[in-house]
Amino acid sequence: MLEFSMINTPSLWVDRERRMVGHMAVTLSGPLDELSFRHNQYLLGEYAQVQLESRGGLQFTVSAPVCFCIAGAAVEVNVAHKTYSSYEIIPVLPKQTVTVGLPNCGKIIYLCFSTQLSLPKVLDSTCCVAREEFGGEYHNGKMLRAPYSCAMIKPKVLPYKNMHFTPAWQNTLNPYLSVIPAYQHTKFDVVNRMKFTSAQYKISSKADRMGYRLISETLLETPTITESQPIALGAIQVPKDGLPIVLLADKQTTGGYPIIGCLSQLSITQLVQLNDEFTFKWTEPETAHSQWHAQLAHDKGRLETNN
Amino acid sequence: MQITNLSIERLNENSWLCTPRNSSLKVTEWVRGLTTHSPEWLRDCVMVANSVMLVTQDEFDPWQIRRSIAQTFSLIGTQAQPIRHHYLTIDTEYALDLEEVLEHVAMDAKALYETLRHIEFVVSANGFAPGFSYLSGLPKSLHLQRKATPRMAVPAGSFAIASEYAAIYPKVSPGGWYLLGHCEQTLFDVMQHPPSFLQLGDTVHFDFVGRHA
Repeated sequence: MLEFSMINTPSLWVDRERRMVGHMAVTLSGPLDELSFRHNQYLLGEYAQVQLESRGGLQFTVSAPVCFCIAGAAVEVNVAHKTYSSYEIIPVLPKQTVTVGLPNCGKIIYLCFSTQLSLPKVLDSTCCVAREEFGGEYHNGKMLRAPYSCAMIKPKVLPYKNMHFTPAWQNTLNPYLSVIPAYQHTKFDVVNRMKFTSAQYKISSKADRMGYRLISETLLETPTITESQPIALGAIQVPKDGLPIVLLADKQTTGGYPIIGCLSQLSITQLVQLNDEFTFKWTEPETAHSQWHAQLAHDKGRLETNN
Repeated sequence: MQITNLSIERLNENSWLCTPRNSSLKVTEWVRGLTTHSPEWLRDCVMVANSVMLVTQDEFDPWQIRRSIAQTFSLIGTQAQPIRHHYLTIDTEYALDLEEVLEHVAMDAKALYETLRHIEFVVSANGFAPGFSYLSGLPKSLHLQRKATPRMAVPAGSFAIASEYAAIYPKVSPGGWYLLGHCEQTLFDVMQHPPSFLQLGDTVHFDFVGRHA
């Protein structure tokens, strides 16, 4: 068994298994930071198909020897009074208590174990969706709460390893997030498109897996649209108040607010880990696509080589 | 990019907004085909009005994806899917907006429900919430603007009309449509296969009962 005695922040099991559900108005869901999710997959392979997405503040024990790894934000991990950090493959024995602290750099961690886990699935996925009130441990879209336990199936012990890996976003000061012009981009006038890329934005307190509402002193004037449209991952809606909302993994499938563009996949991973102010810049979809795959290849090379 | 009758706009790395240039092409049929036998490069599919967003798997080459999209689109008309027909009962006891609707359409309740009873509605899109289907087929005389002030909580099962559509609210949610009755049918259940009771292209006839019908 894997038993959590403390879950102090919103935490849920995530995977990338849900598919072909948009025509039923169901969101794909999945990890908010797909790059960190993939880091764990490079490290633990098949075991990392399902991972715990959390903001730290966890405590757990296991009933059989197993290993775990944390990708994403930098956290301090304590196992039987020994200290570890993110991007280490850490062995844990029965009766040892593991404590995962709150992130000291970044926001979201992905925790995975070298074992299969017995977890309920809805529409092929372990992801719960709060907005749609389904899935997850409690079958109602709610996040995990302690005490919580699940069965481990064929746990395997791997040798300890420290990857000495730092995600790219941790080295980025004053980040520029890349936006692909799309949807009603051309309906925003030149002045407002320039205001959008010159403004400093921060993430507001209204930020969850559905989307991040941004704050800024710069307000955009929006064009009028009358029809609903399908919503892509990373779409940046601008409602009447002029402050953008970036739509994320649990977004609705359709919407009626004007959209100025879509945040690139790589920039979504930056956005969800950011604490600082940032600005937007335009990029072409082909460039964004190349950058995403270059980053994946780079990180895969680093993590698999170290492994 | 335009491939014969299809305009394809790339929204992000993996999302493609496809709009037929000829509105008579049966997009619903295309989407039904894609969802019934989904190609391996396709991860998701969302349809709104006459546009379809295809979300493709990360690993596939974008140029190949464009060709594959065009290929599947060219198959419209060759792989007709069986259409299901539904008959649902609406209790008019819960027609909370009946008087307001009657003012707009200048007919009495019996005539209104009689008109609705004879319409063959078609599921033309699913959106807003799981199980919420946009049912097309309303005559122009029943096209009403959404309510100026939406309700904070529309009861689950409410049968409603607005704009050119009818719909049934699958669960309690905010909404600005005019409520004309209540339906007992469960519209979305993740334990069923498929979870949505109404599928794209299905037809729906309503029978109205209760004191207003």
